[in-house]
Amino acid sequence: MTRLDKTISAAATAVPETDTRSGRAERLRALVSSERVPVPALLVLLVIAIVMLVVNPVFLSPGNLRGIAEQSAVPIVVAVGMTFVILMGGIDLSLPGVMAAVSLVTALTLANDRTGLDLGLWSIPLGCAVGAALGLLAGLSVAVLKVPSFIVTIGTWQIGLGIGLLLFGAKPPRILDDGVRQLVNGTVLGVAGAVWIALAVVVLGWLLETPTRFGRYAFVIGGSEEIARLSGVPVRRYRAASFAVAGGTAGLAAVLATLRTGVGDVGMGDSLLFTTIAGIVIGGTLLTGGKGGVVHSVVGVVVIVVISNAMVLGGVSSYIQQAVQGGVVIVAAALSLWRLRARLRVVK
Amino acid sequence: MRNSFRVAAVAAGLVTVLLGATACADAVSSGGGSGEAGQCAPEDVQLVQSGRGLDNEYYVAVDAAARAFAASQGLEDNYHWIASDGDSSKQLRQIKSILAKGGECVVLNVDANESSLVPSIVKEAENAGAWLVTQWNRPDGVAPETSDSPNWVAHMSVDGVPQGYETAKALFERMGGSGSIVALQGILDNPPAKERFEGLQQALEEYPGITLLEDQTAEWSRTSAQDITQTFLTKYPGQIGGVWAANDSMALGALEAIKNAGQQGTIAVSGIDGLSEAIDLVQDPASGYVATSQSTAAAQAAFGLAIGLAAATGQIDPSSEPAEHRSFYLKPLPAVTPDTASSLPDPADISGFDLTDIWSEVGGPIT
Repeated sequence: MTRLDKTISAAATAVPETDTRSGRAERLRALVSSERVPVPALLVLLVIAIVMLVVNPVFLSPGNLRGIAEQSAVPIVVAVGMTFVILMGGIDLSLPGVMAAVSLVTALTLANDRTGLDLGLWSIPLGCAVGAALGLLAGLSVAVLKVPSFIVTIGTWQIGLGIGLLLFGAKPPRILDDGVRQLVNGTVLGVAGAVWIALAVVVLGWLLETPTRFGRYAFVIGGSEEIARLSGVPVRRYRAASFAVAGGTAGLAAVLATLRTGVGDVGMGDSLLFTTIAGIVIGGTLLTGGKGGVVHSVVGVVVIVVISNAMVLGGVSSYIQQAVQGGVVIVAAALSLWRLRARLRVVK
Repeated sequence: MRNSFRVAAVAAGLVTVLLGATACADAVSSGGGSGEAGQCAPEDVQLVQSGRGLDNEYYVAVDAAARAFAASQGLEDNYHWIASDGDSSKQLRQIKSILAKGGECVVLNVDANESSLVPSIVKEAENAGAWLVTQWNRPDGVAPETSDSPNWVAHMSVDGVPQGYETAKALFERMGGSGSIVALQGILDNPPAKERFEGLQQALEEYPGITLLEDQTAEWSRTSAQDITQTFLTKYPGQIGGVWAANDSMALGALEAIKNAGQQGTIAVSGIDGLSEAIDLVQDPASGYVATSQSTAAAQAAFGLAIGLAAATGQIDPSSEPAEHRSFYLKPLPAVTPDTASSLPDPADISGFDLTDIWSEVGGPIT
């Protein structure tokens, strides 16, 4: 009894005490714990930048920052679309297959050394449409047939890969249309076109996330699908749409990557699945859904790209790079999710 | 036996199971084939070529050359291509079901998805009494000449050391024997990656004017090679005179990064593997792509199947062949340079080989 009294009185006196502390610390804490800004991931970036300042200052040179931006462009485009699927608590593993199909479609419909087709700029929306169609197929299977997205997207991965293999023939088709390639590789204000396109996708994704019903419902569905359904949210429709969006951005990413390397390549998206999903998690978007967002994912992906860039600049031996990268990823993810870990403990 | 029976049942369904059961019985009655040479009539032999997948120029050439060999033996209808798609368990499953059907008259020319898979494939071939030739990968210390049975007929590979050495030399010659290079390695624990890099180091010893600034692995990938080269170019501005890459995909990625940096022609690039895109670029002096190697697809496919076929039909008795016929590197080929690039045979062309002598392309023992 007396102990309880003490605790209550301590709590009562504690309140004015925190109030008297400077408001600045309070505001900082509010910012750090805010879910709108991926603070931990940004801190990781800051730490890497400070370390690199000592190790190799070239890291912060305009040339290298431009390189990082160019290398991030493709995974960022993928991550923006994937974010909506993950926000709703789903997962899209079909990326390598979708990119294989779209890469070949793009290379074969632009002026190339295999077919007589030359759609010029139209092959860009065509690539997005192929990606979105594969995404929609996955989305409808998840929504209507109620198959878990994990399995369905492995299925669409294989379908996409099959389309890619079918179109591949015997050797990779080379793109001969340097005009369209220039759109991605050429620079505007000193920065490659691919970076501007990625920026535009990020802005679009952010506009889709914040004020639209689609974006709002993504959080609601991810937070609790039951509550969303009981409140009359047409969950299935939105879920199917999220896969179409992810497919569309995967398609655009494949177009960009294909224009960047100049050949249609079935293996184009193989390593991207790791980069984007790890990036999304490091950014602070929960794989269980309901928390995170486009900006989080973008920062997370940049962290992953920066890690590999920094290791090359730092001259880390190839033989230990993989292990170092894995370690940094774990530390970064732990930092990003630290806050949630504490919160879960309080709740329980 | 029961275990493989069960797997076959799951994999291939009821019809295959019935066929498989009879095939197993055959294998048992022939005593697993230990110590015996093959006794198959040539027309009964099934030729099986297994590789990663047809999304890759090398395997497309392997499949075409293997098919051409089968046709040259009048066995075109008995030829099968199976793709592992980078999945070890899938590859083993496919081999098991083919062995269940074909038994002791199956000739397998297998590029195992990973080294550790080889002992399982060897065991399957021994149990069925079939004839196996392996390519590229095998675990250290496991070899046909030390195995008890004749069914693992031979292991064939390509020595990466001369490939890495010759392409590096061509690169250094183009640079006038002086300057700095960076190197892009393959997946570090792959034997070809190690051998090719060793070849580069041999060449570096002969050219004291060339400095290796740094090497990194781009894991055989075009995209990561492009990213890493871009970073190298900012890390060593104006210092890089050449990029040595352990395969053509990475060299092509590096070339793309050099192009985007506006330095095409001033930085020389070399690759290995003989991809058609690389060979075209080697012929264009302005590209800066100075060397690659010749494709070994045709020799690996044609001689792999030929050696297996000779064992299956009893032409050779693997157990009495010398060790250098059972584990060997193919004869090294000169590098592809601007002088030789225009006169190369098609990578799937087997017409230049003397297939009457199945050991005619044997280079040296694998050490």
